[in-house]
Amino acid sequence: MTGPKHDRARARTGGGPVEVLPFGASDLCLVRAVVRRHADAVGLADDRPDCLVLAVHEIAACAVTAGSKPALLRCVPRTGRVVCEIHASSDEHNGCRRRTFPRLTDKHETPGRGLWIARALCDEVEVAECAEGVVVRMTMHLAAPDPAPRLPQDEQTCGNAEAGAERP
Amino acid sequence: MDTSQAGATVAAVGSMAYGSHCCFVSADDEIVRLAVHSYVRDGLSADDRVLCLLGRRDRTWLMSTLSEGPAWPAEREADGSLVVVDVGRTPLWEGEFSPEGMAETFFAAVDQALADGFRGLRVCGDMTWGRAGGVAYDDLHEFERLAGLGLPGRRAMGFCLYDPREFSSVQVDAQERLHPIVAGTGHARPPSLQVTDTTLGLRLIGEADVATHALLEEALRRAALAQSGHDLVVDLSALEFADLGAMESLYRTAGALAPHRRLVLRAAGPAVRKVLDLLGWSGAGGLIVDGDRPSGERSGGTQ
Repeated sequence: MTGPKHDRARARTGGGPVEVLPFGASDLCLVRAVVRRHADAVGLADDRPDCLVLAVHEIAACAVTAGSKPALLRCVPRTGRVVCEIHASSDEHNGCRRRTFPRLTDKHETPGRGLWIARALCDEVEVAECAEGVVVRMTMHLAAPDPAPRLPQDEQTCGNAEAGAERP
Repeated sequence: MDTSQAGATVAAVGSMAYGSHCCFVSADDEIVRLAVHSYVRDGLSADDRVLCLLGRRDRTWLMSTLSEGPAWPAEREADGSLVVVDVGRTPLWEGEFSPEGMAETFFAAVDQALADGFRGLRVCGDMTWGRAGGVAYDDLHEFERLAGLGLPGRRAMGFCLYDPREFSSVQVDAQERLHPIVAGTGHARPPSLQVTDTTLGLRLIGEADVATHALLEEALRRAALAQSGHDLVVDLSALEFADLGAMESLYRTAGALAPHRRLVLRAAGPAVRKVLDLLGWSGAGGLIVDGDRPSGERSGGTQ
């Protein structure tokens, strides 16, 4: 699996180059290392790097359950925030399949707990579905945004994943 | 060092010839040192120029590796037979990296080695040089493909080091398909979690995730039995990451203790404390979080 053409080295986003990592079930340590590197580069402080790493890890683990196809991590450092996406294939064995995604009340149910905790830890979490599979986009800003509650918004398309955000 | 692995490594390096393109995959530092030392020594002995492209493994690492034997790296560098490039510090290209441009640079270096009177060119690449130089993995892969196409027929060879701790299994698989020769100790990585016994319980060191789940469960089960008279203390001061599964193991172990006993988490990192609070596990079911660690302190903390 290779990254989208537009990611190849030259894509700049105001916060450094985009990094793409195709990964399998045995590569979660590398996923964490890449996210950590980007969180540090953007300058996330306090517990925010750790929270982002844990959130991305849980979604990544969900995307590469045994027998599934490789998934893709895409880290997009932007000015003042870092965006991490997990692109999971639509493989039928994939634990990240759209219809298996939990609702906000599923914190004690595996495998849905991973998405629940990602929503709790990140500033924004968006879930989008397209023909190739599912994209979960997690965003962490340099500073925590206004904690005013927002309505859950998890029905999106891949092309519109930037538009919505939610926080439990 | 495993002698059979060492022997296989030396044999793989010894089989290299002009036109060869080898993908050497290993997370074993001793084996990698042996491979690089053998490859460079063979090249210098054969009057080849040896070009080393370095990334995470830097110049200090290379010189240390080459000093373990009669390679005389400083002298060989002075006479031009050994060329060392720390790509993160001395880029080989101007402006944006292009695989095509890098391949041209590579083949020009072969011609230059011949023009300078060497028999040929041996390239040894710690392939994290791409990351050190800001090169996207896809571009690195394309450069590898172009270099591999151009090597046959030239008096040159390439020895490419892929550390599974730096590249994912998907990426290493792709490189193994691309290179005609594959050697090394494979995709295995050292365990990410160590568990040591303490007088009050356990100390966790490293990273706890699904790959170490069985190890953690067994250690907790054993410690719960061994510390039967008092609280079970799990020291997290050296734990760098814990996933939800690891936290659930701790919570379940606490719940299985006798009613008068508790499982005490000492020096938990801020993310662990936060998640345990979110899940309602902190202070519940016999699980106590004690001895906070300051926010942002990573080593010694969990996620």
